[in-house]
Amino acid sequence: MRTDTYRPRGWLGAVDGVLGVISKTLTVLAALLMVLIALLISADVFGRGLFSKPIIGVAELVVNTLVIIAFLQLPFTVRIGGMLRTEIMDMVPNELFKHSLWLTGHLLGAFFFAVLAWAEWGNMVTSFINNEFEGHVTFAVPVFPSRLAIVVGSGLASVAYLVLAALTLGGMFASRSSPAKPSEVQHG
Amino acid sequence: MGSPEYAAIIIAALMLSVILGIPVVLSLGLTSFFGLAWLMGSFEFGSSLLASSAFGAIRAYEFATIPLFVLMGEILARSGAASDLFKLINRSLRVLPGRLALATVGGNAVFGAVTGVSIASAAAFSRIAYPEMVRAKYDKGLALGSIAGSASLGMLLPPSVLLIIWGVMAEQSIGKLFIAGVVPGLLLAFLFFLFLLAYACLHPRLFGAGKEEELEPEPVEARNLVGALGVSLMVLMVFGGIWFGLFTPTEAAGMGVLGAVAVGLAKRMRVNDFWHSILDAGRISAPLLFLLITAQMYSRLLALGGIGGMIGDLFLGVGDVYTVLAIMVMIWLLLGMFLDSTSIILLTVPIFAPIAGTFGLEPLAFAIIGILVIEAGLLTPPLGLCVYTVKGCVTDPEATLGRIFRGSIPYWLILLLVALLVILFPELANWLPEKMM
Repeated sequence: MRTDTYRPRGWLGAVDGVLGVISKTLTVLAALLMVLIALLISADVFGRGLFSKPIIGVAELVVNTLVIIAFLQLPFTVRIGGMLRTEIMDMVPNELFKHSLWLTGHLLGAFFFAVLAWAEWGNMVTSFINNEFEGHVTFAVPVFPSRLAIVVGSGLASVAYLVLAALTLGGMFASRSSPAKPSEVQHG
Repeated sequence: MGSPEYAAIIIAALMLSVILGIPVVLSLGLTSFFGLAWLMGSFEFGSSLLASSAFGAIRAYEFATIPLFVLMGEILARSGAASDLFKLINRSLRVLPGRLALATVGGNAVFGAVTGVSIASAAAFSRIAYPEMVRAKYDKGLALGSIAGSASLGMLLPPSVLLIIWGVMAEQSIGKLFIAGVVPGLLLAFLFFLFLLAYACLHPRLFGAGKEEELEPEPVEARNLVGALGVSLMVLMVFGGIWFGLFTPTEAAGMGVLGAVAVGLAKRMRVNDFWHSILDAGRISAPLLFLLITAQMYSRLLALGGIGGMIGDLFLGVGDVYTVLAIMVMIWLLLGMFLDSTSIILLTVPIFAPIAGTFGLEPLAFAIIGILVIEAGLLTPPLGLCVYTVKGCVTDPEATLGRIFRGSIPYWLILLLVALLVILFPELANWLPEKMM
């Protein structure tokens, strides 16, 4: 988890707290969807293997749910610093330089996901109004939920990056040793 | 189509952003966004490509393999099955010198065949094998190196997240890639094994000078067999299912999760453990899915800007296939010093795979060579990820980074040796997929 030596207070603390609860809830929702996908795929394999009856539309459902899972996880991933990055510059002893780089990263993140949320907004509204579906005649999946997940996920991710930027900035002025470090999770 | 200057600026901006520690997702996404906006003369174009990539890039059935295989590995890691495997192999190798290090390699080979990320193996065996080796008075550098080094087996033996990502970026069958990794993976395990055995005979002092013979291996109980047997069955199911064409990789992943839950239940995992495995799987796989989204944007920029072609021409001017491969290997090793393996694949494969094709390299063999070299990079300073994971999981203050890096050198050399063997004999990777049903 994040190692904030700098603790947010006031309105920033409130935003951070609310964001924490929302992002955690969305992650849990995504986790449940992931289990659901595993069950659905297994049921399809069993249905086809044992009873020669595959479940229609599994691929369409899985594909759409996958997009939703990814974007529901996004705000949480941003908050815990889960996005992969190299830590080579974290070895530089100059604190100001290091923290300025972190701040730049957070601001770029806020910008990127804001652009994505804004660009997807129109598509989302259109898919809702026109009641768009996707897939075959036998099985069609509504497009709106995926588009909604993209807008909500990236919108919240943008806010999460802004909060991280504010925390980093606060930490820089409070001259603490470790303000909102951008990555805490390891991958391989 | 951009000019050569344009291509140079794009690649330079991307590399600078990555090196400065901007998350790779953002580096790829923003470079593509601005690069396309510049090329087309409108931000509108960049943002609409961004939206269409977010919606469409991971809309394929095979992408479900990533979260599902990660979930399967996480459940098995928490079930204690890795510890069971280690005990069983340790017990059965009683007569051999250096059996604890050998059991680490063996355990990693089997466990690697059910988990998709090397870090998971490195973490598991740091906790299981290291204390045992310390108790048997092994040299600490050797003990730590064997854990970090053999963790690379997980990325070669299916299911491997790296192979899935490679398959996506190079547009190859993930099932075939999985099968192609088997022979080189087994060869790698065999060479690790051979090295340790020879080393233990030559320098018994480093392996505790026979101290481990006095320590009777822990008896294997029935409940340990459940874990070891469960994992072995899962290996057979995933591998056999894909081999005989019973499942697609996605279906194997779904069934694998079900199997992992069964092993977990048999090992009396609690609901809380399952829950944490699910949350961890999400935490690990979400960033990977996002990387794939922005990597797709980057691929499109490379194509629209003609950048891939320009770099390809540059390589064509270099000369023969071995020089070209040598340059690629150098780039991979260099990136491996400070970047994770997924990011390296996403940055390089969209450019390298077409070039390798032009030079007539077998795509499957090329993928395996790439994975081997990139995995070797995870063992090199200053930021080799496997080494850092082992360091993070071991509390012993004597387990310094320097010691782990030094202990990993033999494995690094063996990884590169196997890569060289696959370059010289591409059949090592191609033979098994050709026999596939």
